[in-house]
Amino acid sequence: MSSAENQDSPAPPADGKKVFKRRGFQIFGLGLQDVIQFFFSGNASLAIIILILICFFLAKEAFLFFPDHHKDLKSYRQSGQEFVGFISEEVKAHTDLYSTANIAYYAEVNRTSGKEDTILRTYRTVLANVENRSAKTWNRLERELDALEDVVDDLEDHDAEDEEDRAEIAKLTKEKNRLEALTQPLRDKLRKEVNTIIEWEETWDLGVGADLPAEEDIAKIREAVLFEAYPDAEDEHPFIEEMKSVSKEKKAVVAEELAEFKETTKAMQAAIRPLKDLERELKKPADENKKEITSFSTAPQRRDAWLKGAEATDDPDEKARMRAKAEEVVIEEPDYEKINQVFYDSIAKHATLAAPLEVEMKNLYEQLPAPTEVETKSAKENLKRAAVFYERFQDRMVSNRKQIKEWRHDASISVPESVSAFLFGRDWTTNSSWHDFYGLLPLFTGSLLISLIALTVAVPFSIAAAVYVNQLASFREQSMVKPAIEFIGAIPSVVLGFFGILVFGEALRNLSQLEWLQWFPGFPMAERLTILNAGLLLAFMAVPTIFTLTEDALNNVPQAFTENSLAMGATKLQTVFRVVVPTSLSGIIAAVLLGFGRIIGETMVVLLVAGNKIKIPDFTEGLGVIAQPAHTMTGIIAQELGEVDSGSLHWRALFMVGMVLFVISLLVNFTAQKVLKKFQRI
Amino acid sequence: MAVPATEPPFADTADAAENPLYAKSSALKRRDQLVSIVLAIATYAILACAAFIFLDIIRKGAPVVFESSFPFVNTEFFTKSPESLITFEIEDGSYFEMGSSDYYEWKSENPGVRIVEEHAHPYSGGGILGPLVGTALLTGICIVVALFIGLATAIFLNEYSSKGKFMDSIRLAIMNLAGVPSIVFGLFGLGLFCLVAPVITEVPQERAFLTIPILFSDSYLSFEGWGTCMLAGGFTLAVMILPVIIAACEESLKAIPMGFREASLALGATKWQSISKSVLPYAFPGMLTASILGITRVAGETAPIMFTAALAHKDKLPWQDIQVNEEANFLAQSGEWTGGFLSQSVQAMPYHIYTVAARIPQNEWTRPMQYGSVFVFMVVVMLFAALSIYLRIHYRKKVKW
Amino acid sequence: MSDQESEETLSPEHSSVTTSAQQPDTADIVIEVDDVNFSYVKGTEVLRDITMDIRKGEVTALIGPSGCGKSTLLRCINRMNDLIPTAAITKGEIRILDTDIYDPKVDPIELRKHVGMVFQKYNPFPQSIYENVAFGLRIQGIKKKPILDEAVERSLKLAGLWEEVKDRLDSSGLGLSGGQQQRLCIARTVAVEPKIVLMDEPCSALDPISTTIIEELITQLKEEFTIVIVTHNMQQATRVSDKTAYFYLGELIEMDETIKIFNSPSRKETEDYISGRFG
Repeated sequence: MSSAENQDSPAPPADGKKVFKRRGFQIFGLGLQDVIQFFFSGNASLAIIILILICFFLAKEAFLFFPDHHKDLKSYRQSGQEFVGFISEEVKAHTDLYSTANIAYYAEVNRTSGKEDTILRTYRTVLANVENRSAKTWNRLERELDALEDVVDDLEDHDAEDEEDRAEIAKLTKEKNRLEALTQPLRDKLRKEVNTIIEWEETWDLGVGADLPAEEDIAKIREAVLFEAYPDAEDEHPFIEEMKSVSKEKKAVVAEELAEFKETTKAMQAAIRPLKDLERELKKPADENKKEITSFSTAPQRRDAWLKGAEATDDPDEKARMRAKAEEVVIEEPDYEKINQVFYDSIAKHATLAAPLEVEMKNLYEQLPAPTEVETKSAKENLKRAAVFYERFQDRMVSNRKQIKEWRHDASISVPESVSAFLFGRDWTTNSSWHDFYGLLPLFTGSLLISLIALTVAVPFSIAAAVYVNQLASFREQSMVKPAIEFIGAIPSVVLGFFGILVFGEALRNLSQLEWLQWFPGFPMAERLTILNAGLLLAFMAVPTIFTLTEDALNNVPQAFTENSLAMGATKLQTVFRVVVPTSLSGIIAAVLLGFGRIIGETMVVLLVAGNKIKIPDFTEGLGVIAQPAHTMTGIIAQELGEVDSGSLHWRALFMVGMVLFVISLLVNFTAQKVLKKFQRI
Repeated sequence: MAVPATEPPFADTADAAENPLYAKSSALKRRDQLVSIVLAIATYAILACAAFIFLDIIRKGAPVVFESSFPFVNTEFFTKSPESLITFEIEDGSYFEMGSSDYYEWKSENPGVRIVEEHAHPYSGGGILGPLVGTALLTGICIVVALFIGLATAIFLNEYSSKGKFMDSIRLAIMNLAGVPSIVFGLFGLGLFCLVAPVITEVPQERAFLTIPILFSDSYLSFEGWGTCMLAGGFTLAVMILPVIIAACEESLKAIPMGFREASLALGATKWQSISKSVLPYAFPGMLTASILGITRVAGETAPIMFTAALAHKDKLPWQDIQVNEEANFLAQSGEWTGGFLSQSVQAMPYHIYTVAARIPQNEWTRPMQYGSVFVFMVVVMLFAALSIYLRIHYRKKVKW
Repeated sequence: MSDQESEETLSPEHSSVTTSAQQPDTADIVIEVDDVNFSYVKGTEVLRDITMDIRKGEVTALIGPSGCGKSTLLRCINRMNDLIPTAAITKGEIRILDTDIYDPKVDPIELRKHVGMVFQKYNPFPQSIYENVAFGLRIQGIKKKPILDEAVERSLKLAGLWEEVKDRLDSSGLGLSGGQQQRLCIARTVAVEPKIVLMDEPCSALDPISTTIIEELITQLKEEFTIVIVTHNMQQATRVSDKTAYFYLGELIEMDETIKIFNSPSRKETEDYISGRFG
């Protein structure tokens, strides 16, 4: 470096000795070397430029998002949709309560007929699969059997004594034999197919908490399915008939016991009807208002479009027509007061409906059996959840009554309100016929939950592996395990997602049915694609990142610390956990943070295996929440961006989500670097 | 021996069990052993998971790709692009399964035959030529761009820069760039390369960000974007792996001893001469490693190319389908073939896998395509990954100047 | 070894003290190195035929040019060389009070609790001063605060550091000066009350003032501990040690009373070394 500076040394005195003078090509006093240096530094600053450009492009859409979103929220209010939304929220709170109670009821009714229900469910699943996947064999067999039946009928009509018929009989018998020979392989094929389907574990699409039927029952199910394949069988297989009736009887017995429970749930369902009717009634004017408002707000654009078209065309007739069209576009602001009158009028009606509803629900809720009074696990849990939902229902009724009373269509929306509608909005609904909501919360909770699960699993495993490899493993072991774990990091995420959707999801669900694993939160799982599935796969993805960085951090601990500790009589592990790990702690924390960054920004795995259900996970299930599907910030961008118009509100909302991701990743990175710096100072 | 009674710890005891130096099988020791075993189990559990995934994919994918008879490889799988798989049955009961192109051929050859049962399974027939070619092209463009910028940056950081604010901010930017989620790069690529990047065209589009007329010609420099094409995808990917490439190049430059540069400078070489003659040639292995590492990372990425380059379905390979579209690409001016070529969207392996895994109805006819694609893709990516890991270990070990 | 000849050259008071204390009472021998060969890699021995006795309550200095094996021997005594996979004693044995420390029954962990070591480069753990000193007790499972407090105070006092740090026991050990850090390391070592303290060039990274303090400390410590010190500095050896052993190329050339070694060494090599002709 230092010798390079020689070139910049001042020009030698002008005494003719030009030996040391700068030579060569120069522009504006810059030598070639400077130009080269500028070239390189320019390239280096590209990293900064790119970062700025990313900020710019995300920020551009984001800044445009908020005004548009604000306008959108305003139209939601002005059209009265918001008013109806309040009522919908109440209905929704009621539905949550009612359906939980209902699930509890049915779980309880089915408590004695579990075995039969499992058999029936398995039978139906297999049958549906056979019919679906072997449709061609199935249909052909049906055709051939029909033909065979005709022939047999024909044969019966003929009299063997009759001379004339004899030839006919011979012909028909031949045909019959031919058809029989033809159907035989088809039957065999179908039998084989049924067997493969039953054995093909991937088609076990059984419901919640289902245990597999017993071995002998599976054999009977197989028979029953094959039996169904013969079209001459009018009725169902006797085994299935029997199971059905047994199940029905058993249920009837329990249902009698639980008559009161059933009455209560029925009454619950009935109680909400008036409010639901009001909701339906009001939705219509709100919808119309919305159309009117949209038409008003887009009117100038439409008129401009016509005028522009008129400019562009050469045909005078067309021009005139377009001009006329432009004239036709009405730009008249709706009379908000008038169009919203209907909502103001219904405030009183709502009040008369809401008060008795609350009283009635209180009574009904108290009539529900206590969780201790029911027997099945599912019923107990659902009744416990019902308590939570009832409380929410009460709160909802109180808060919404107030909101409805105070509702004004022309109340202004403040900036923080509009921003929080995005950041803390509880709904992300797009392409809806009612109103599109862009609330980040469901996506953010999904991302966060999945990341947390992934971290909880990945952190202990990767730190344990790093400690083992760095401190305890032999050199040979080290040189094998380290590249192997790095190798895992090279597995493309889409491959992991693929594995999750095709193999792991099913395996996990089957695992969740096991008796001795029922203590695990969320087990048994009804779904294949869940938060847990995505979390576990992401944990696997994060392991190489956390492992490598942790291993580096452990490696950076001076050998002297280890030696000192050992010299004092500490065991190897005491040394590791009392000296090495505490010393490299900030490095490990940074590793975990960067692992978190990697997880929360991962797209393909969550897109494929998280279940893509846009809803805030239901936390009333406690830790069982991990068995639910969810959607994520990364997933929503990947899924929806390809299908929206550029520049639309939806498009901008997606860029906003990207912005949030970007900010999170910068924060995580920044913190990690801060932590690392602290580490290096030691 | 005379042992003073006041020295119990070092007494020469006849009873060996009391010797303080002898091993004691204490609870502490057992705990140590237990913890070591737990740690080892955790380590090998990770590897076992990986092995399980690999074996599953090999077990189900290899039969699709390999055949028991000559030429032992399913050639059709590598020479055709994905298409629908048609399964049908004709009157006499014989059953056929073929890709849609074969099906139409068969139909035209057998015009009289009545088809009884016919089912189409999208993306389940044909092969994976299209996605393979697309991924190769995207990766190629990406590596060329990223290596160019990355190497230049690394040279600057390692050879020219001195400590200062500028340097710090560059390093900070690179580090932060490394942590940005890939989908955000996808958004960025869409925003910049697809919608705003400059093209030279005679008819600028209305939505162009900015239009600058070029002197002495009818053309405009229009910032209207390149559209969804492999060029945009390649650039997006290049931006994404820039930190990786810079880090790898820098490491390779750092490995070259200062003496090489000093010796060269001392002989009167200019800075650039000494870099180009005495540094870069020796950094070649490092750069090779960098590019292979880059390929590994980039080939598997789906999110950044989803909106910038990839198509789920495309009948023709990029070079079979060149429509010269001068509006679409700034390179259109310099060479029609190149321009048309680079401005096409392509199929890509990861996107193809995403499509067959999640966007088509699942049944047994789709399995071979799914597992076959994943198997081939895994093998290719893993080979590159293994190569990069090997090269890194190898050069670290070997290159000692 | 050469006791018979040395007796004559010793000054009278020395000879009378040492002979009367040593000769008859073999129980005083704490470390017995008996004909030891040692190699890091099989086939190349870095220590050959070392035989020496180290007595209780004495400071024994190991001197010699770099690479002569003195540090290696030190690390053999508390089996720190076990950390190097291929390193092993190939001949002979080292006994600490009649127990062969390379006996399979001996646990190096237990051994090291009795044989402490202070390293060349002072390296307190990046923890508080208190935790540094309490470390050895904590790993032995002692959790009671009063015991720890007492031990920390006693050890810091032993190391002469108590007055300097008693008000900031909770601050990081890395915040101390070099000499203080080394004394902290000594305090850490003596806190577990070992019988023997090995010191591997404890002052080589310190300034002269700190060195003096440490040297004084060593002479105080020998009241309670048997000390073996490796040093490069011959003046230091004369200042602190009772016995001196001179190593050259993996062999023990001579071991005797310090005064005798420096005044009238019996071997030519020793004389060359201490008179500064090489090394």
